[in-house]
Amino acid sequence: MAKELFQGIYSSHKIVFIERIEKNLQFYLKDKIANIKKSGQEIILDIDIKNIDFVLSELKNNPEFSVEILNSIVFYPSKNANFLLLSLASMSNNFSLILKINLGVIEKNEDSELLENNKLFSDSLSSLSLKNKKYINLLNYTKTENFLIKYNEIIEEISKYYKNANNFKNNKILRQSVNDLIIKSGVLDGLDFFDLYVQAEFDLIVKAYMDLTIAEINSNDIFSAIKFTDLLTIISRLDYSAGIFPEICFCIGVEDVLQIKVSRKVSLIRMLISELFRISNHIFYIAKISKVLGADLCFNKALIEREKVLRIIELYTGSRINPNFIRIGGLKEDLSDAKLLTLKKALKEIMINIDSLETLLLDNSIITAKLKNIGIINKDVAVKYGLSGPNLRSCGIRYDVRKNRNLLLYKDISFLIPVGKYGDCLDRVQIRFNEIYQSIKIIEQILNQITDEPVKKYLRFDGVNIPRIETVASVECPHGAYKIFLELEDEYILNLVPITPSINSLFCAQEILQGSKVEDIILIIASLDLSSSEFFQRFYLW
Amino acid sequence: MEYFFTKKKLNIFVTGIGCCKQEIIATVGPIYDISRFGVNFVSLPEDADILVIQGFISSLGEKRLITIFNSLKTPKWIIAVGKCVVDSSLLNKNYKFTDKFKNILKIDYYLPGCPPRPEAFIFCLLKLQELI
Repeated sequence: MAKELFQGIYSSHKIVFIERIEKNLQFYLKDKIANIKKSGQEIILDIDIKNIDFVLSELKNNPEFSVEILNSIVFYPSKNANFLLLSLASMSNNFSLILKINLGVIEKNEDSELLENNKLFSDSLSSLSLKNKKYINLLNYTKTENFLIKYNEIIEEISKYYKNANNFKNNKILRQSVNDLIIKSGVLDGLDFFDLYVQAEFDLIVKAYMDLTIAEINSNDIFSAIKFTDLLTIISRLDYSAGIFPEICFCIGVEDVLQIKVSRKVSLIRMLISELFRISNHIFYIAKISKVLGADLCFNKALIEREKVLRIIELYTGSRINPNFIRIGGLKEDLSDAKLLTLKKALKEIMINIDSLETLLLDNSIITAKLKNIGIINKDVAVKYGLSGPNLRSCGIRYDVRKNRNLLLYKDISFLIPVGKYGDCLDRVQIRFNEIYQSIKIIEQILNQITDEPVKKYLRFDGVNIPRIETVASVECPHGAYKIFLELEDEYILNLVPITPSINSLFCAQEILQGSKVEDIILIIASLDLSSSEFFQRFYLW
Repeated sequence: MEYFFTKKKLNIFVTGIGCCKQEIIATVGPIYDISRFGVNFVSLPEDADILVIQGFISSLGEKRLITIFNSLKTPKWIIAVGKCVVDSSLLNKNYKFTDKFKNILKIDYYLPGCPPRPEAFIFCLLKLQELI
């Protein structure tokens, strides 16, 4: 199985012309839109709150766009007004866009919650110097009751077109009604950021609700009045199970605005390290799954392999978990031939060991019986909840940002996008193994293509005058399509909004838990590979 | 063999959400193999001797941390792991865990690093065993 996949050739991908879609949007929506912008492979569409009905119906029903998927709804405060970001995607036309809805200025009430936020905010203001204060958004994060009612009304309008929007509602009533069984946050990484409220009849689950209040971590500093260069050192904590991806995503976004072209070697090394991180994340996933299943031998074997990959990552970047390696327009340092040689030697060993780990885990009939026909996600459900990444591919839909969006230099490299069939837990585990083989295949090709040319290390941005501007960039991280929305001015970041894939998997988990047994809860949630760091945000309002 | 009879066997309970947890879990595997020192990871605070605090902690997490600390059996020890707990939180500079809880929790060992390596965590536990 591994050999067949390893030697397979993938047919060339469909080319997308974003310019054509941009023109069509301008033609059909005319004066209903305030502004339209193209940033890299993404489109940002500015609209007013009045026109939301017209625009959504046009986007959904017009065959030129046919936008079927709503990925997430994020709220963020800006300098003059507050905004709502809808991340939308079209599978049939192969494009994605960000809909930016202007909510206007929200009146400030003297609510207790608001005052608390203000106090926290004034603390962080006092620690900044006078020069930086200009770049802070003085409109604060407001969670007053009036605003939440208004927010829920908007969500209801969106849910006429996209049914999964209802999940983004602020619903405190649901939390109290579902409480036959409460499972508090666990110890294992990926199961520690939620409390699960379950309503059950005997051993069958009727309703499940995941409460994320334990992950609401106060994070004022990271998102405002910070320089690009300072942000790059800490941005990897936004997805610490695969730390390189937020860095790459951020750098692609800024390079796109400033129109910086990176050399071929820089892109190749970025791809190489991101594939190494993908392998390490997938192996850790297998370790976690085997821990849940009780297969201790596989858990230990997987940790040995992960350690090998982590040591190579440490050799290249200097850190095992948080790399801090990518720079705007370049890299932290060049990779010497000796370093590349160690990877070449280790790759063969990793390939053989992972193959034997797969046979050990999945040729065991007791384990496959535990995984088979549990937590099934249909194609329709996957599209309805806007899943992405390996979880989507395990349902049988071939969609990968690396191929479909021309990310970095993936178009020059031949690799296969593995697809599952039934969308159950077994498929989800199998697809991770297959992706590891493909990543090894990609790395082998990259090692043959890297040349001796020197690498540009970094660019200086002292005293650069950049006008106020916004961009989006997306990468394929191990959990799915990872997006970052940015607002820049001069050398400072005004707003940074990560739009992350694990939220969709979480909402999907709430649905597929209905009808399954109580004993399978932890297995189903662990098989979806939720990353706990993606939920540390102040931008979600539910 | 002498080691097993002289030193105390310890059970560990880990709290918090953060990247240090990956490095702490890595010590279980055969490469670092923390169990050769008689150290175990448990999933119930009632069984544990040592509380490991790491990562980012929310306001609900703080309340839960204190209930977990109270349900630990005596004698109990606390290890603070990572920059976010030892110094100030990475995502919010004004939040200082050790200052906030200095009257409630008595921390025995501070383990700096972002995240600390698995070897450092094992070294910290060996130091604690000497103390016991």
